[in-house]
Amino acid sequence: MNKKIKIYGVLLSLALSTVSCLDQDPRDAILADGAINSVQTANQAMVGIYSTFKSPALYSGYLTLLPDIQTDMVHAVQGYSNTYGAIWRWNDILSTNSEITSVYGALYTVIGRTNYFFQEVEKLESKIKDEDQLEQLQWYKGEAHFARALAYSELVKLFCKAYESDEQAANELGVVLVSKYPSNGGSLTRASMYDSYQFILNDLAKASEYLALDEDNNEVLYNSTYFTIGAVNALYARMYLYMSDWKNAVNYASKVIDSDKYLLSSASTNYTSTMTYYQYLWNYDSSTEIIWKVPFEVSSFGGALGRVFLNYDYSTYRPDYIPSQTALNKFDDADLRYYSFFARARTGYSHGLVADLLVKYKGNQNFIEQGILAVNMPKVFRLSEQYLIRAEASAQLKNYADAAKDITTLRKARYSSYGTSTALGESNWKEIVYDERMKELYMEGFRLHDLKRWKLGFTRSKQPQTIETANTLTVPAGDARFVWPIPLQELNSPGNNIQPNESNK
Amino acid sequence: MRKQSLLFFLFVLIGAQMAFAQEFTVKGTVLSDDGKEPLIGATVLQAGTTNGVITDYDGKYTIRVNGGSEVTLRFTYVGMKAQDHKVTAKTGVLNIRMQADSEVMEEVVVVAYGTRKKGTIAGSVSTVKADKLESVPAAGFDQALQGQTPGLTVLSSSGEPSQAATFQIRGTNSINSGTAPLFILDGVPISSADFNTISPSDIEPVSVLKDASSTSIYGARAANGVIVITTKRGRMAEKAKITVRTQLGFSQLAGTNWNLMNTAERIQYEKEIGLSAGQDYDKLSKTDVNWLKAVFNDKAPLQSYDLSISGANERTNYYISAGFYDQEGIAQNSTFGRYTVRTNIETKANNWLKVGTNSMLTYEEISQADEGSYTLYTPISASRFMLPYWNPYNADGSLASQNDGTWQGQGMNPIEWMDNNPYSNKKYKAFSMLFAEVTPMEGMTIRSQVAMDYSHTAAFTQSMPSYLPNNNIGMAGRNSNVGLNLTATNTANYRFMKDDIHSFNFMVGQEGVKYSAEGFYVQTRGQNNDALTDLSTGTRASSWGNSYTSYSYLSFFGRGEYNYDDRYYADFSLRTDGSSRFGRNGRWASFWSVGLMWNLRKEKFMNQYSSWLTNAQLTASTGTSGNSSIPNFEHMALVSSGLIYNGESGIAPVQLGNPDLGWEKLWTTNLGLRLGFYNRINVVGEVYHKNTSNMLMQVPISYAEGGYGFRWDNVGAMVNMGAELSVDVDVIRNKSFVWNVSMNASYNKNKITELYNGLDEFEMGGTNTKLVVGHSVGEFFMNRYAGVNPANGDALWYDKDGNITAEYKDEDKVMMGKNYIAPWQGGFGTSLTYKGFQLSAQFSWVADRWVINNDRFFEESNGLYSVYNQSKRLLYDRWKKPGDITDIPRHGVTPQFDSHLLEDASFMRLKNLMLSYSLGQKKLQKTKFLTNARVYVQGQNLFTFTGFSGLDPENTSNIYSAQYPASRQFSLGVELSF
Repeated sequence: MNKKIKIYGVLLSLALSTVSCLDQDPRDAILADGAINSVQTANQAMVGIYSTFKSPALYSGYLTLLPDIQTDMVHAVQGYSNTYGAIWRWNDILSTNSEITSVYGALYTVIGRTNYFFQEVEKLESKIKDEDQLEQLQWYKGEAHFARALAYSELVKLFCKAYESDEQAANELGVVLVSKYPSNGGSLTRASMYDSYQFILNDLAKASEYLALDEDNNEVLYNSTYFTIGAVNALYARMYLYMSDWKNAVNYASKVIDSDKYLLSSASTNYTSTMTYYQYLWNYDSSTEIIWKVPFEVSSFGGALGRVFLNYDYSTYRPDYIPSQTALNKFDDADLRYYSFFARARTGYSHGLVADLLVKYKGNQNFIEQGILAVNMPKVFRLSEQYLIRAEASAQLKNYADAAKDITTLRKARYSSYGTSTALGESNWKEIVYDERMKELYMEGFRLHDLKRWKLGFTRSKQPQTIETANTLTVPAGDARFVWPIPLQELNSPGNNIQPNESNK
Repeated sequence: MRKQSLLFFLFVLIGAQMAFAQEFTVKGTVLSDDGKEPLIGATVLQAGTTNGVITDYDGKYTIRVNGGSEVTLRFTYVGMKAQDHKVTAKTGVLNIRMQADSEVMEEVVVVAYGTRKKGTIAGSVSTVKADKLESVPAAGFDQALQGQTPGLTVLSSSGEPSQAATFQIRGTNSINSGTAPLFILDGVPISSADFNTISPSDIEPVSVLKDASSTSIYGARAANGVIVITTKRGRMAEKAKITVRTQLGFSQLAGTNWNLMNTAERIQYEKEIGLSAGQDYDKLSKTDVNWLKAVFNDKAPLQSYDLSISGANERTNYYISAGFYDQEGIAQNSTFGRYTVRTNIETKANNWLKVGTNSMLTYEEISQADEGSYTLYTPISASRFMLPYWNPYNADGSLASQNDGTWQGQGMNPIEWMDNNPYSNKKYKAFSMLFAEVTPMEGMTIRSQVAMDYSHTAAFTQSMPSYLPNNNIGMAGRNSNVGLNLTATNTANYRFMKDDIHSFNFMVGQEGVKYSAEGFYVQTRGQNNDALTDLSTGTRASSWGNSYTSYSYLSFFGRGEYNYDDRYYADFSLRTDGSSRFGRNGRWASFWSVGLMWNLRKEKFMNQYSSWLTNAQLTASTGTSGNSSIPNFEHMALVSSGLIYNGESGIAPVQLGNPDLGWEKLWTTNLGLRLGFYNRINVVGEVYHKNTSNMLMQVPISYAEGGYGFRWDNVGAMVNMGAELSVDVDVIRNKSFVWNVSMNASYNKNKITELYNGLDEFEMGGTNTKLVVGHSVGEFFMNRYAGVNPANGDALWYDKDGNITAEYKDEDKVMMGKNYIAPWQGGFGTSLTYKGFQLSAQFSWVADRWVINNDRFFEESNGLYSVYNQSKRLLYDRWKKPGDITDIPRHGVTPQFDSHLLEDASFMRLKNLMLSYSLGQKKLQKTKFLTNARVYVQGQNLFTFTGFSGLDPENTSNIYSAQYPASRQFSLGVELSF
């Protein structure tokens, strides 16, 4: 009997011991509530936000490449893998497109992470008394505001029509504005385009306040991997240009240009024994004209921007896309950008096409040494864009002399030799400024929105060994697909009322 | 005094007599019913004890009986009616003539937490017997279950030998949470990924539990049905039996649908579409490679060896086995090798305690071929793209290499790539179950069982530095995962009879399960020596990570069974489960069931029909069960780490969590009728209705909510209803010849009855399916292809109203009424037995299953992929000039994922054809040591009848893409027992 009692005892204790094990916790994650509980963890959360920008859906991939591939910049080659094929063919862009959905999702991931950051930091701030710590938190908040503004700026660029005026923008659809984590609650809907841009400007105003430097600050800002006041002003300028607010565009571009913190990289002056400053910019992702870049390490990097243009395997090149002749023809003979961007090679396809391939993103040399090909660090803000913004805005303000001056400055840094001025006036400014923008920012994700803003269409001209039908595509100005469709997921998400775009049909 | 001493003497004398009476010997011979043949291996058992012997080669037995002056001996032999004979010390010799058993053999059915006699349960349970599994020429027993049981769908999506098939019982019960049944091995839940760690020849029966009455007691996770696997044990009163099984064979492609161009066609095609620039056709036309044959092996070897020893004495029974199985897949880098050892022992420690263990050790070496994604370098996928005039081998038989320029094709030689990028796995598994069973009083058993299921998988991957595309920078990666599952089950069972007519059986129990797994991986690069390419020879780490996961369950349950005079049966059960996968708000749930059975045949008024109606049972059951197959920590809002920026490590929120998550519930009702006629025809028919509510689903949410896109929630409902029929007929049955025919078929209809937030439809982006209330899960939602405009060769579609349009638009998609989950499935088989020969054939089929053939998107690309090989149809059938009537558009029209890729993947397969010969008893006798000898040849997947245009119609997904196709096996086997 004693034995039986013992056995029952064992059974009972077994039963009780198992009750407590219903609380299982992960070991590679912690509860979100209260995870930011010190300045150090706030910094870690900020690092988490920054790291989101490494995503191949963003600057090291789709966000940079798709808007240019979609237009007249490249042709798909016979034998290509159909990577981004639907985007390039234009007419196959659907609301179920996985790349577009990834871009949309990744941008909202940045926004979600910043909102979570704000929410948690607000709780933390009430507990901290130390002035230095509070100041540090404020700096992080400045970076977070900028991160959110940047993500929204890309959303409005891709998923909204061009901003023509405040009145027009008030009546057009913007994007879903969320400032809490996970969301504001209630039914989500798209704000007006006006409100969406204002939201970005508000974030920039906060970022500008928190990231401001003293007048006499002599810190090095170029080549930065973190958000700085320079980046804030650069995004301001970009936004005002997109809003057709020419005065402010000039004003903010000037703040960047005149800050003396950045310098265009010369394509004609040698930096090392074999490379000019400009070549160094593309070969080592390092330059005085970089305002903000996404840093990569060989052990941790994002997408490979150059892969689809080369697909090199140490024996042959099998590019998915080759530059269009239309784009190539725009480069002057003295334009050294041509030689940094393009190189002639025989492709490894059976048709053996010989063509100019895009080598702008052939890869950072330090990475190539390690056998990692076609990986470059995305340079999201460069000084040259600010010159182009100021030139375009000045010309819009009929200030052609200023515009000409900026174009001249830029070309001097890019050409083997260039005169002292550029002939630019009412009749030709568009051609000059628009083309310059295309050449300088080739395959950097600006083209689609630029054409949309400029109310231009485009035509692809047939090239040998390129994919039929879409290689002769003509898209009229104002085509619905200049605005990307809202991912189907959004339209389907229950309880919300997120409106489609015209390209959603 | 003397009296006393006399009395004492008497007492001693009587005592001695009693002692004599308690132990005596009976011997005799057991003969067949005609009295001519001795029966070898017949069991003679002293009733109520474990004391027993088996007859020898001459049918003779000698049994020492103890425990009473008159005891009952029970004589049993397979296929014969059991006989009971009372014996006393005077009996001495008892010769028996067994009678052939025309009644249904008394079988035991394994049910939840126990076994029952066949025909005494209300629940819906199907059993697949060991003989169907033992000789299957496959790594796991899963393949052998296809088409065997109504309602159980077993489909294999890969021809990879180490890959387990997908199981589904009676349709799909859920949209996003798991739909696989619960697998129980010797009373312990296991994962289907572990099937190949169990040697099929160690398995006794497999029971498929389908309705509430049989599954509800498993509560947690039982919503998708339960499959109970029991391993062999030594039979009581059996002398040691040694069995050796061996099988040798080979595999080749089962299907050969291959419609890609040969060199002549390819050259013609290139000329027609303007791809001939720079081509030297004189040279190219000398090579013509069929890449299907280049990539797939048509004689991949297979070998299997099993040795088992089983036996029992009155206290202990044992089954010990060892096995080795080795199979090469038909694709490159696809192998499976397994070593298994098993020990199943049970012993009566004393008269109230029984203890035992089932333990198994397995070691596996596995390589798996890449499949399912489209690349130009992994062989299965690349075989479709490579041009027929590219030869993977040089004239001397060596590999055409990129390194020395002998590979003439574009890009990489897939076979060379595979050689330079080996990938292998090792798996170690230890499974041990230990139990103690106490019988404190007659009819009552208390059983406590603990089990430990440990597995370790280690993978090793390399990329050789000398391979040209690696440019002398090699790569090596290793990963390691360890999982441990602990299960403790305690049950108390009390069985008693009242008035010899009321039979009761009550059980209460408790069960706890805790699983945890952790792993890590490291990859380094920079190796420069092929022979030394490993982690430590790298110069830097290129990627790394670790993982951890865990879950636990806690359950309390009870069951009551009652039967009245073997006529009326009733059972009910109740179970409460808690799962760590849910937050405190939704953690616990209770499930119940009621089952009833009326054994009509035992009613007195039925006796008049007894000449032809040999079985008649009516069953009904209803009850609930649960499903919690979701990721382990979904209920929590979490922040994770490992986000690196500029050399610094950061954190970020990774999931929203849902504290209110709770159990998905399934309410099942089942009606069944079992009939037997003339003891030769057995028919079982069942109908059921299943209602899933509180469905666990990955609900789409706006990306604006944190960028996640989805979150788990309890929403929606769906219904499955269906019918099953199985028929088994002995068409001819006499002493030397038996012809048996059996068939089963089942139909299931699925309907979504509710989605979420009042939404009644949701398109599953990228899958071409849409969830719509009133339709079934898995129904395709696509643009309907309308063919080609004869005037200009453009593709045409129907718009949503049925008008023809030349524009492909999202808004023209419609519900197709076609589904990738087959509503119809079944199997049929026949066996002919003549003396020692047996010929059997088993077919399985699936009907009305549809799938998108993604391969054709590439093969019939109209120019999109024209530099790669294309379907012959593009050469012969494409639109070329106005007036051509065809379904393939002109060159240059981009194909779309529309209904032209949707194909009927219904199939019927000759799953197994086997011819075997067993040596007769007389011949065995002459050998003096053999008790059984059997030789067989079999073919697996010999024929497949299908309209599907790809290599293999067997698949479970909505899409068929670069799939590793099923193989056909031929094997020769020998089975000997001593």
